[in-house]
Amino acid sequence: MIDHLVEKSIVKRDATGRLIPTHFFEGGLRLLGSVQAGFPSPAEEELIDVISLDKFLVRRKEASCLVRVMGDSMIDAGILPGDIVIVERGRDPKQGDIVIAQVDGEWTMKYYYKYGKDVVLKAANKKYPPIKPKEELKVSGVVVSCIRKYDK
Amino acid sequence: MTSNDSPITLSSWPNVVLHVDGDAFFASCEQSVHPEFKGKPVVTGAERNIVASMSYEAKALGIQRAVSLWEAKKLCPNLIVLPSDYETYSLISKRMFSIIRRFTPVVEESSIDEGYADLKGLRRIHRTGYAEIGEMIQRAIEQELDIPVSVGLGSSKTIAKLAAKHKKPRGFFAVPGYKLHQFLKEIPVIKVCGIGPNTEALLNKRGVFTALDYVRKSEVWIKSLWGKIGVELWHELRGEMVYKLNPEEKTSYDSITKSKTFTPPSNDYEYVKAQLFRNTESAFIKLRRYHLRAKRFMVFIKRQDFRAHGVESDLNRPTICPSEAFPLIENMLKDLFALKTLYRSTGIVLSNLEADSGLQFELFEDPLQMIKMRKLAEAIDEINAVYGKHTVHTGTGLYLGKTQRKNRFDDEKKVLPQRKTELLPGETFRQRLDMPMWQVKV
Repeated sequence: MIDHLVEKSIVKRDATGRLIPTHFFEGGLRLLGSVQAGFPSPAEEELIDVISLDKFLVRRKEASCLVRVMGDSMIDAGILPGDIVIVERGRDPKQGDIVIAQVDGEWTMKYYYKYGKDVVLKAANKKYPPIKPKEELKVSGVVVSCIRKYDK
Repeated sequence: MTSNDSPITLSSWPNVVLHVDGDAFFASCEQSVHPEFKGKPVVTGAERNIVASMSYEAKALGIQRAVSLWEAKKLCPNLIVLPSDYETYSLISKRMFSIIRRFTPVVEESSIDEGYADLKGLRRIHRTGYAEIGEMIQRAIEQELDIPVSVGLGSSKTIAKLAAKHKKPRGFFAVPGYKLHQFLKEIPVIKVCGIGPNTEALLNKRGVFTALDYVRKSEVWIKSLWGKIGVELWHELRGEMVYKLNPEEKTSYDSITKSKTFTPPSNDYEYVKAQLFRNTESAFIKLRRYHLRAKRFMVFIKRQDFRAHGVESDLNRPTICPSEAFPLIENMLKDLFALKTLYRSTGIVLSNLEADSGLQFELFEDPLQMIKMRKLAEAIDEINAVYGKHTVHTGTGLYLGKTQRKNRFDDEKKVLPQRKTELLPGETFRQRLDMPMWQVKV
């Protein structure tokens, strides 16, 4: 390969056999401008792995809706009257989920627990005892996040 | 075996079209976000004083679409009457279509509460039959949106639609090819989409009463009876797809119509013109919101005796500014307006719409003037976005009198949906979060 370059007079060999450039390089390359060396800006590549606040707060958008909280039964879970919770409808609740359910005709928001076949709904407020549905329980949605805005 | 019992096709699913149809859609949306209205007679349309949609409970009491609220309340004194909340209905509609899109990308949104989906080839992905996939879609919509829908499955759009209508509400009906003849036997021709009372009468005279009678006739016979559309329907009903799905999301309009009735009726030219110009401005606001421009204009005015007259005309180039169209519209109105006649409403239709992609100048035009007009329209939109629609309006609006000059905010407030009166922090009358508010008290 080097021999080939020497043959084409692109490089020459000096007496010690080291390569020296020929006129081929002199003035042959124009300076087109400076290139910033250093670290490439990471901003663009890193942004591929971020999610919007929307996606952070909402798991499945089609099934989600907003509910304005009125009661104080979940205050120890950090959900205060006036807060807005995002609720996913049509999802099966898991142990410890905060659910919106209809118990014997009344709507409520509570922790969901299942012991064997018995469902118990627990408030996050000592004022309210656990609810064991007598006749009918319909879990209509699972709370996925809570929004409170301070800026008016 | 008589010829009427022989199947039309032996193939189960030559094509697989799913039709989803919301049951009493608007009323069902209201019952979904207001669970306390479940199982009760609900109608929407309070802002127009007529029944726009009624729940099945209201339907059972004999309440029909388009009757006055006064009549509806006479039939059912404890009727729940709600103002139309189109924002919530559209949000739920969009969700319905995104749920269907989870199963297949080929979905046609034919209206707010109706759509088609192509399921062909999906059995392998979902590892189940077409009917089961249809039921999965129906279940997902019911569980996640809490609205009832009827679903039909067939080998063409026409059959899928007939199947969905077959067992409403919450119906599910699949018509595989080998059962098609049994299904069509139960369908009177009038039920087929595209056959109206006149065609029905014509067909009945020739001994065609059911959809099965129709497909048993020869193609030539149908063609000689009522031509191309008849032949298309003949193929569709035999499970051969003629009408293809249009799988684009509805983001655009074919035309924009704005019309308003005014009381009392008027024979004052300037007043009628002001009404028409106001409608024109409203239409252009909507046009610009969807980033469109219009070339064709149809103006109509309705007389007190409900007789309407209209004319249509084109500008030489599409525009986004009402001021560019006003001279043309005024000329059209002059053609229509007759002295000493009382008019009750005016209206305008913008059509030949296309995407607004900036200005293009042609020879002999005044570019400076056009740029100015465009800037004016943009400025008006910006101001009105903050202070409300029609805060800045054309001078003709002064003829409308004080009550109408500003928006009809106070008047409307009485019949506004909850969504627009109970705003969240940061929401405005004009813009709200893109999620339905579920009105449960917890």
